[in-house]
Amino acid sequence: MSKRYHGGIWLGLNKRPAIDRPVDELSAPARVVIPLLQHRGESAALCVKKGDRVQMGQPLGTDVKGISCAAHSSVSGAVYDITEIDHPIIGKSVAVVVQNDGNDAPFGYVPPERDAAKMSPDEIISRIKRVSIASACGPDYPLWARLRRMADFHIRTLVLNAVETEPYICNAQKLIEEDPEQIASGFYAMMKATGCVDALLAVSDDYGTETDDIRKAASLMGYELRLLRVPQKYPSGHEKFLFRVMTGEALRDGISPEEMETGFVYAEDCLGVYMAIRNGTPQITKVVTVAGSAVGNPQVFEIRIGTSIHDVLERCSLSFEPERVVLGSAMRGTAVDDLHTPVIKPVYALLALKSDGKRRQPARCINCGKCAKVCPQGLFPNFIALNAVNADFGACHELHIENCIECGSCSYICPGRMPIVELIKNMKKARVEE
Amino acid sequence: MRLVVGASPHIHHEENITIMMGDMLVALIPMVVMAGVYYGMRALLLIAISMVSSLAFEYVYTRIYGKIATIGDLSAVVTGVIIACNLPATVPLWFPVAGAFFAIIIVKQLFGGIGRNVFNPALAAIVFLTVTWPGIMSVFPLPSKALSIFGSQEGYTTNETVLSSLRQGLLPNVSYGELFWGSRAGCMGTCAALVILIAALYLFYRRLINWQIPVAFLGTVALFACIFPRTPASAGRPAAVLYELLSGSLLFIALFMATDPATGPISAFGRLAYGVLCGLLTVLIRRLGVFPEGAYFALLLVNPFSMPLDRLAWKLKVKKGELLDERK
Repeated sequence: MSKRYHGGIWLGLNKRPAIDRPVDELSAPARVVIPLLQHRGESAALCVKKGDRVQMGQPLGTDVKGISCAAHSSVSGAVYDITEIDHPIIGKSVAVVVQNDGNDAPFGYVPPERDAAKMSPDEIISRIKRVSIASACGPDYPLWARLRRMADFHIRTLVLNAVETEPYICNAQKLIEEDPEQIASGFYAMMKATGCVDALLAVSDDYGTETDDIRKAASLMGYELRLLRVPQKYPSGHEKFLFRVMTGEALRDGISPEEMETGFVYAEDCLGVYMAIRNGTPQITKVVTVAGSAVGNPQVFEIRIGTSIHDVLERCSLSFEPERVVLGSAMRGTAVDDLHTPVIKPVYALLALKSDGKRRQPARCINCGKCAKVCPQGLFPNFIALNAVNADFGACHELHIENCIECGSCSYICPGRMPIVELIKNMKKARVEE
Repeated sequence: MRLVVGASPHIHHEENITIMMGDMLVALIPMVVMAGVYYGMRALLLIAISMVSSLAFEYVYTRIYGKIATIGDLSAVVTGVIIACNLPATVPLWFPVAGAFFAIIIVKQLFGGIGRNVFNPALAAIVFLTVTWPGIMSVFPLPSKALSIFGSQEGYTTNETVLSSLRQGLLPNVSYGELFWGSRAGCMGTCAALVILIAALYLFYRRLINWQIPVAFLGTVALFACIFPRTPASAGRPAAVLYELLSGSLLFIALFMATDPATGPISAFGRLAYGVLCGLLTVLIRRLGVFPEGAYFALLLVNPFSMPLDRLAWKLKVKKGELLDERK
């Protein structure tokens, strides 16, 4: 069934020792910064003002028309300030600064516990919307909008994408190991919501017995969770390539997996949905792998949304002076220079990388062809990059620059250290602006 | 804390150009050793002159034009060693300097430095030396330690090269053993077929060279040698193929010079086509040209076709629908 695709790279995964340690909760900081926009789509509308008292889980902004969801306070306390921040992942947004009073007093009404099997799809989706689960793996639309879209396309297969082929990151693996029942139950609710009949758990080769528990839990709940093991080759976790490995046929560009009757959800989504169905707790924490070559104690943490990177790194004790601090994965993440940047919903990893100690050399292409060999899309990245240097839109278009998924494999492998992906991204951006 | 904000990816493969070129040098060490074994100190002196002058030209050029110094990436050293390996041991001492000047300044740097050169610098330098001083470049001594280290050369014995015997339709008076071990009249570092093959295996293992170009190149030459043998019919076709493949510097050119990344195509189709073109031209020039070793000229002629061949490969790929695209 599974078919390997062309290209890709074997990365050193370095999941240890984070994988051996339990998921730990990071204590709430003295002050959190919560942007009202934490996903693709519309920003929530501010509904508190400076000086207000807020409870843990109280909405700071309500959802507006369109694809949007509310933003909840992750601590209880007083609104200290309302500012505008420019978050490196999501962009400019209004942000609410909440001073933590340390009580963690929960917010009012708790909706009754329900059984997902007896709820209608619309009920499940509206419940998910209330708790505003968003973007388990990078910036994406809120979960409710994605599920609605899957339901609209009448998907057949819902895939729990737990393939983690990027260095250090092991969120899904840890969650599946620790909370199999909750994940299986949340996944079941999402199957109900989308009306699909086929359930698939996609994992990378390095998973051991972790998958047994969740499959057992699933079969107790009355559905079969099929297992698909994919090679640990980057970018296998990308939906496009996972689809190709699953079905043996490639996903055409511009066609989403939903249109091919397949939907992808992530382990943390399932956990959030489980909580939503059980007691309606909004998503106020985020599971983040904190690791990297400069981190002394790498671990997977459950972090309150709005905690600054500085607080997180302090807890994990840096063993080296980091050269880069990256929100997201080492291959696709965003480097930040301001350690006051808050952790928000699309952040699934926080890496502090030390300098590799090598002298910087000028970037140049020696035409070795390694990039073309690793490109999972079968492009010629070096030619695109050379044309991008000259800002030649026509030539780039001819080389199908639009097909690039910006996975970073070419830049990773390049012996001349050409910033190929950066050039391609800039080129695409310039193209859009034109 | 000073943080660097760079584009993703934030990690890199440890291999860089210096390591690649270092690997190339490691693979060239056996050639240098063989040159030393067969021709003594004279050969080593020539190789050293070639290396040092290449480095010096690169350094001087980058200094004069205020470019970032690139001697650290070792590519100039590789060029120098390859030039020296392809010279006969009897050339005067200034000869590699002329070659290095042509390779580094004219072919490499004036085209824009490493990666931008259309022609393989070492190859172009050898062709330049061959056509400019054909007398010096066509005298091949038999391996001997009698060569004086610094002075001009006298008293060495030459032997008819395999290529000139083949050209006259004679059976070369060189045994297969001599072909494999390189103890025959020829260039300093490119005669020992066995050593070259082992070094190429190392390069292949280190993923520095691809298999397509050498296989297509040597395959084409072998095919033509098999169909139209140049040895007397009594020797049989296998002999014709072996003599054709192992003579001159063909093996070295196909494995070490045709696979040069900067001047070769990057697509599998392009590489195969490039190799076949090289092979065809080699056969033609060896049979019809003035100079016995046609492979240098063939490769130099095919060098500029690397980009067009890649373009062709891309067109074919798009047409065959391997690249899925909604615009069609």
